[in-house]
Formats: sequence, C-alpha cells, structure tokens
Amino acid sequence: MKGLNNFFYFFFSFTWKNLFSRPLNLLLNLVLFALGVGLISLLLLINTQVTEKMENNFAGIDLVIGAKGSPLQMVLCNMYHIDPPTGNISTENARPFLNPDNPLIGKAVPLSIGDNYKGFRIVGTNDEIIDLYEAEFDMGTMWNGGTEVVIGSRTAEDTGLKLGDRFKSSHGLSNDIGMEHDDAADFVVVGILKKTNSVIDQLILCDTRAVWAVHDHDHSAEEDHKGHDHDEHDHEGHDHEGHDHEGHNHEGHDHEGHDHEGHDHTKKIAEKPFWEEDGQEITALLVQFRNRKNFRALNLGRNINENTDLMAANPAYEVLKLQGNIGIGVDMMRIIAMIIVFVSALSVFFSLVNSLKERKYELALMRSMGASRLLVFGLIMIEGAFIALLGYGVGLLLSHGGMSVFADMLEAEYRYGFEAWRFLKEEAYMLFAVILIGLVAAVVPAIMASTSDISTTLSEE
Amino acid sequence: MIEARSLEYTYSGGVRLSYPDISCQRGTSCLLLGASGSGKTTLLHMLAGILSPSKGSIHFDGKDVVQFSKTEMNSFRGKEIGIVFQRPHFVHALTVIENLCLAQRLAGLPVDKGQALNLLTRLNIAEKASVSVKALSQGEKQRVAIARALINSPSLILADEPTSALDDANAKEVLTLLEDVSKESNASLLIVTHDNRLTDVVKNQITLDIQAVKTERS
Repeated sequence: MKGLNNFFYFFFSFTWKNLFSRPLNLLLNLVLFALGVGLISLLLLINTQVTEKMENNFAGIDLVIGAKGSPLQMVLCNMYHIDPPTGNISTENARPFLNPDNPLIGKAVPLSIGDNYKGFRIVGTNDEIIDLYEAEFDMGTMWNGGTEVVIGSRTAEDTGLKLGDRFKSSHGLSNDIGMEHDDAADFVVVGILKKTNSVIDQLILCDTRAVWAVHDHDHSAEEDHKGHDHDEHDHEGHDHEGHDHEGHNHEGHDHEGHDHEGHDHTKKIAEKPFWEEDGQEITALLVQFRNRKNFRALNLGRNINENTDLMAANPAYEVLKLQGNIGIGVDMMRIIAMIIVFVSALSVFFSLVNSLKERKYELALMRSMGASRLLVFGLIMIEGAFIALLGYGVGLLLSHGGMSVFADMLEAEYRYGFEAWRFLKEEAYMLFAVILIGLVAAVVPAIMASTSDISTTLSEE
Repeated sequence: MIEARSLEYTYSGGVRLSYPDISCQRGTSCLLLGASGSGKTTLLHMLAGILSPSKGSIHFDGKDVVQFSKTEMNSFRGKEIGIVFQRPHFVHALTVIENLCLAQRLAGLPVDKGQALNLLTRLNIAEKASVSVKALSQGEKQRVAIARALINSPSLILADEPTSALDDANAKEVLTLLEDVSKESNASLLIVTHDNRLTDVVKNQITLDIQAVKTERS
C-alpha cells in the first residue's frame, strides 16, 4: 500500500511538479511534440476520411460518360459533385448507352446538373440512381414526373425542407443570390431518403425532364403552342374530312384520326423515354457494366474516347491518379512531421541533460536520503515519457480541433461532412510510438543521473 | 552511540587519509575540528555511509555499518542518520513541507504531515510550510535543512559546517537549535566545522590532526 502510494507520488505528482518548475522548457518540448503529433494525426484524419468518401461513392460505377474535357473534373462533378460539369451531351449521343437493349451496359443513370437550392445540387436523373447508391426512403415516395423531387438526408437536415415543401431552384452550383429561376414552376418535395453516407445524401433528385422544364420553359411553352396548333390542325382535318363524301372512308379515317389525337398522341409523349427526345441535353451518364469481365465492356471507354464526341472515364482510375498526386504532398508533410518529432525527441534529450546540471545536487541529496539509483533512473525516464504523453495529448487536441475547423470549411464549400472527433486506431499506435520516443530521449540523461557520484556532487560548492 | 575506529580513506589519486578515533554518546554533541582541506567532508560522508572507508570500522549502537550492503546502507541512512549539509539544498520544485515529507518517503517511512508541521513549529518556521523552498531566506533555508535532518528522528545527526554562511546571531541560534533537538530526540550530534565561534560553546571536541600519506599506486 505504502509502496503503491509512493509509486504514484513519484511517477505522477513529483514528476508533474518537477516539469512545471521549468515551465518554459516544458512549453518548448510540448509545442514541438504537439506539432509533430498533431500534423501526423491531421494527415491521418484527412487521408482516412477523404479515402472513405471517395470509396463510399464508387457505388459500383464502372464508367462515367460526359462531354469532352478533363476526365478528373468529369468524375469529380458527376460522382462527387464538387466540380462544375465539363459540358453537356446531347440526348442523341447518349441514346445508345441509355437503350436497355445495349448488351454491355447493365445500368446507365443519366445526370443533368446545373441548378441548386441553397447550395445543394439539383440533379435530373431517373429512379435507378436510388438503387445505384443503395438508398432507402425515410419518408414519402419516389417522384412521379412533373416537378416532384426526392431529397437526401443531409439536404433535408441543412435546408429544413420537409415533405410537401415547395421551393424555386437557382441557376448555377453555388448559392448565389439573384440567380433564382423565378418564372419556373416550384419544385415539390415528395420523398426524403435515409442516410447512406454517400453523396446522394446531399443531393436533390428529380426527373430529367423536370430540369429541362426549368431551363427550357420558353421552349416547352413553344411545344405547348405546337401541340395546340396540331390539335387545331387535326380539327381542320376533321373538318376537311367532314367535307369528304366517302362515308366508309370518312368513318374509318375519322375514327383513326380521333383515336390518334385524343388518346394515343398524348400518351405517346408521356411514355416515350426521355432519351428518345431529340434536341435535349444531359450532363453525364453513370454506367455499370452488365458483365465486368466482358472484353468489349472493358474497351468501351477507349472506344468512346477514340470514336465519339463523348468522353468516358474510369472513376477508380481517376481517383487513384488523384490520390497519387495528393499522396506526394501528403508524403512530404509526413516527412516534415517526422522531422519535427525527431527534433522534439532531441529537444527533450537536451532539456533533460540541461536540467540535470541544475538538479544534480538535489538528485544526490535524494540519494543521500535513501533514494535508490533505480528510483532516480526511473524519475528521469518518466519525465521523458510524461512530456511525450502531454505533447501527444496536446497534439491530438490540435489535430482534432483543427479538423473541426477544417470540416466546417469543407462543408461550406463542398457539402461533405467530416467527423472531427473520430479517433483512429493509428492514433493509438502513435501513442505507444510517442511514449517510446520520450523514453529513448530520456535514457542517456537517466543513466547520467543515476550513476553520478553523490559524494563528489555533495562536496561541490 | 557512534564509534569510529582507525578510519582511513584512500582517494583515487592514491592519497590516503587516516583519522583519529571518534566516539559520541546519544544525547550529546561533539565538534570535529579541522582546517579546510583536512578531509572533514570525506569523514562526514564515511560516517554517513555515502563513502566507504578503505580501512577501519564504524559502529552504531554496536552494529558495524561498514559491513552493510549499499541497499542496507541506503535504508539505514534514510532512517537513522540526519544530515545538515554545508549549503542547504532542496528539491526546488517542492514546497517546504513537501521536502520534509519527501525525506519520510525516501526513508521508506509513512508520510506524516502532522509530525512535519510540529517540527516546523518547533523551529519557528511553520508559517513557511506551504511556501516554495526557492522563496526562503538563507537563515530560513538552514532551519528547514535542520528540520529535514530531524524529520525521521535519527539516532545520529551529522552537520557539515552548518554555521559557516551565517552571521554570529544566526550561527548561535542554529547551534542552539541543533543541540536542543538532538538532546530532545536522544541523538548523537556530530558537527564538522572550522568555525571558532562554536569551540567556546561545545565542550566535546576532536581535532582532526590528519596525516595525509601519499602512497605508491600499485
């Protein structure tokens, strides 16, 4: 009991008081250790979470097809929703990939990007995007054409949109004032998705035609007019047919004409898939192959790039390339952090050796009062470990505190949520490494302290 | 009581010092007089078990402590010997009372703050108990050093030039204190000094007429 009491006294209270009796020394060592540890931990945090975000959003997408430009930009825009589009592609060009009869393509999800609501992207697409990201409905239902939208969980949280809420979209991808589509119809929230931890959480999804409608409201008004014309024309035809004297012929033709106009014609417009409409544009396609091992599927990207006006990019490849490029910077930072940790070990070593000059007499005194060599050795060792431990603590506070500031910035910019206070197992390994470094830095001073001759020391003036 | 017979110490340079026999009863005090450089501190360190004599014996109440192992000696010194060094040194990160309690811990004795406070009261510096030792005056430091030497109720108090840095009044007070408390706790008090102010007060005196012999190094 007494031994334990003494153990705690010497290795905590006593060490603590000794370290704090030289506050500037302690501060220097702490700052150095904290910088090194903080930098490494911050790199780990960012790297882990960015990689996770990247991987969570692969969603089994084999190919992104869009307008020619930077393939990386296209992947970032359409899979991660953080860059503007490379351009648009016409429905005519996209048509072969959207055709369900295409033998290579299992799933092709169209994306029409260009509008936002409070900074959240409105994406015109089809219902397959829900399956692609394995999303489930929290509330409400799938859109059924028109201006109905389904929103992700983060969108719902941050914008406060609820089922049945109406809003107007803004042109562009950021929340700029004065860019509202004032004269377009309101969007209506009909569904809210559960959290998926993928990018779909921060999107507003609607039918492709809904985006077209907002952008081409002049054009669609024209179409209405055309339809009206057509109707009138039909009426005319009917009138004209009325003039026909061939009763049988008249009957049959009339019936056919009526059927075509009153029922079949309008139904055909609604049933015609959006990709069969000419003169419209979408931003990109997210493609899943029917069979990933199919040789022709693997060559599809290259074929598109070489033989068409479209561009295809393999997201895994682009992301890997991007990580490779970032990796060089990360490696540099890591090396700098290691150097800082090494310097902090040196600093601990020097300040312990320095403190021994002042404390030589009091350590000899302690030995004259019955302290063993082992105790003196342990005291110096524990000081090294203590500084390292404190530096580690301050370093983690810095990195996670820094991460929370960083996370706010990233969220404001890209709508991606980062967790600042999540701890990694690498950080636990780092704890052991750091304590070891502190102990190693203290070994030589500890040996010096425990082997010094107390008689000589005590005889010195 | 402490008895040292035919002590000799050989320095690493080969210089050998031989000391006269010393004996001091419990409850009494004894001056060890000698000029500077006459090996007084070496004698004190041998008596304290910090240095081992090359020859001779030191008996505490009949026990020959020269035969003790280092660990035994460490423990014995902590409990039975209180040392007042020439210059009062402390663990600077601690307060006065923490320094006293440190002496209890290092001797392997239970920490008793009450006893430490009583001692400080007895030495008239109780009000400094919670003050950092760095904030003490020279005279206060000397008293705290005495308190620390006495905290474990040792059977031998060794004082190395305890008055050399003090003025007459303080020197007299310190000597009186040392004599009083050693008498009270029935300890032997050995004062190594060349301070003539003490020779008039302490009757029991041993002059260190040391013969330094330069021996051939083998």
